Amino acid sequence: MSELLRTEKLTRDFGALRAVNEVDFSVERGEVRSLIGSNGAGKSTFLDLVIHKTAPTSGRVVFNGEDITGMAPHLIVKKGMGRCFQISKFFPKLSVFENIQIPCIHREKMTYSMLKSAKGKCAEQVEQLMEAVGIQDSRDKFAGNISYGDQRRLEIAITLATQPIMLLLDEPTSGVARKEGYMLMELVVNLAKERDLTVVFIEHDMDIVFNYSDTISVLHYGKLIATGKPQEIRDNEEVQAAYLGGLV
Amino acid sequence: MALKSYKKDLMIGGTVIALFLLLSWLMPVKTSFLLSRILIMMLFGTAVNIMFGYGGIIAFGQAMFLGFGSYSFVILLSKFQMPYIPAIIVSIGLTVVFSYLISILVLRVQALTLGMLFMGMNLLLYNVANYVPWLGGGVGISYACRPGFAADDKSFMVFTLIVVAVCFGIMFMILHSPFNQIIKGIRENEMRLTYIGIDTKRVKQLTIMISSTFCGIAGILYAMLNSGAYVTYLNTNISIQGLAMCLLGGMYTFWGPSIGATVITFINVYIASKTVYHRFILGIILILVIYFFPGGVLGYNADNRGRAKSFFGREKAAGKGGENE
Repeated sequence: MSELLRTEKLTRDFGALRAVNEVDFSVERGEVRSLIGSNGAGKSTFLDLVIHKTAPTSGRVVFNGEDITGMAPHLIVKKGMGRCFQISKFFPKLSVFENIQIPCIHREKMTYSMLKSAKGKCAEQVEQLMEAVGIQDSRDKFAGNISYGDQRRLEIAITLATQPIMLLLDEPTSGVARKEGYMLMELVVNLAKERDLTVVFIEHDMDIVFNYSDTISVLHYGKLIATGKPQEIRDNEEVQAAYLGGLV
Repeated sequence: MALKSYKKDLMIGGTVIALFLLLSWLMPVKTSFLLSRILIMMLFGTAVNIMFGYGGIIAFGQAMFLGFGSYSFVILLSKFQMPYIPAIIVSIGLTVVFSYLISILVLRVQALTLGMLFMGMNLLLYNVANYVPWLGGGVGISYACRPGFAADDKSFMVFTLIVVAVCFGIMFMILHSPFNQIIKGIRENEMRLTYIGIDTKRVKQLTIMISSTFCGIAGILYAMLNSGAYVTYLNTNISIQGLAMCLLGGMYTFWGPSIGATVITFINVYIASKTVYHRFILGIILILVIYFFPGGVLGYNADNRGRAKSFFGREKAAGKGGENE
């Protein structure tokens, strides 16, 4: 396996608060990596820094061998990084079909196409993606009207439509029932295997974290305190003291 | 573009054209003036809707482009003695350049502040036109600029109908193209669009330029209709009326702003000639539409029926997907 993502001394200050503190982080291709830590540990901010939703105060981000520090988010996405947010981001007043059609249109380089009809464009790819995440029954419904779990699936489909090589997921199972959460994570891991994707996800449910991660990284007050296999993290005294405590 | 799949819209377009021709033939000559004005406002309203309804970009200053189109066309003809056709082409070109420059300035901010910046620039241009003598000041520039073959009101109405129909054809194509799906994405969730890999600033810039160009063409027609460019074209009231046209007819629909434009222009011209309370009537219509048809007259769908019912204390209907067009 070769390295896909690396951060070097990645730091972000918000006034006097150092939200992310000189984080050196590395992810191998094909890996499923989880990022854990208590609330306010800087997990979401860290993902935001990686995809440049938030600009870092200092440090570097190297993706697929290229320095992407300071690059516009839409260009980072073009390099193959996909992002799902803690609160699902989609197009609520467009149908589920149209939601997935938009990234397909962009991928097919028809973003500025004005003389062709959009009707049925990329239909085959859209149908395949709806089927892959299991929302084909909601095809013509407004995305804002489908269940929360399906909205999470929709966001995954939208992100997959950009053909990423890496998925960044911020609490993919938050707000859904435990069983649904497991199903979602199962879906993500299977899709990752099928499509040769690397996954980095933030999660609070330790059962999910320990069941689905190849490697786990722990953030504590903005500092990366440990990275290792699930069992190593379970046995790590610093992690136990800082975060896991009696959780596992 | 497969014409078969847009049979309904082609029929609507054909009916509108037939209706205007029939009205101009049956009604007295002076009615043709009103019909031309309605057509121009239909073009203006639909152009505003590209930004406002489809793109979700708050367009508080689109009268600026209507006025710019008028002034540039009249100035090129009257002060530079430019031939007729080149004057039309150059003034459209100037509107494109002007809208490009304005878009660079306004896209530094977002949402409501963007709308206010638009309005600020609209006011700025209004004052420039109002006080600079070269631009005619408060009285504007009077210049008979109708084409020779359309000097009278009736033939000018037919000319306007042809120009507006061509513009509608182009706008229809744009608003049913893949690019329009992207524009709608801007309205719905700009951040998601960014994380799909789309340069949203560029999309918004292009949307503003397309909308403004058609506003400019409406302005050129307006100058022809009224034989000159006048400072009232740049009034922010016209910008607000453009938004009202979209809201009234249905901002998520292609034909909605045309209905809004027809109603508002009819009230502004015909009702205003009968009573001083025309704005009162317009106000009542707007209030009723906002309450009972929040999606506009043509946006009347399951969701809106639910709204109307819930107003009377009944249960709200669940909505189903798909745009109304």
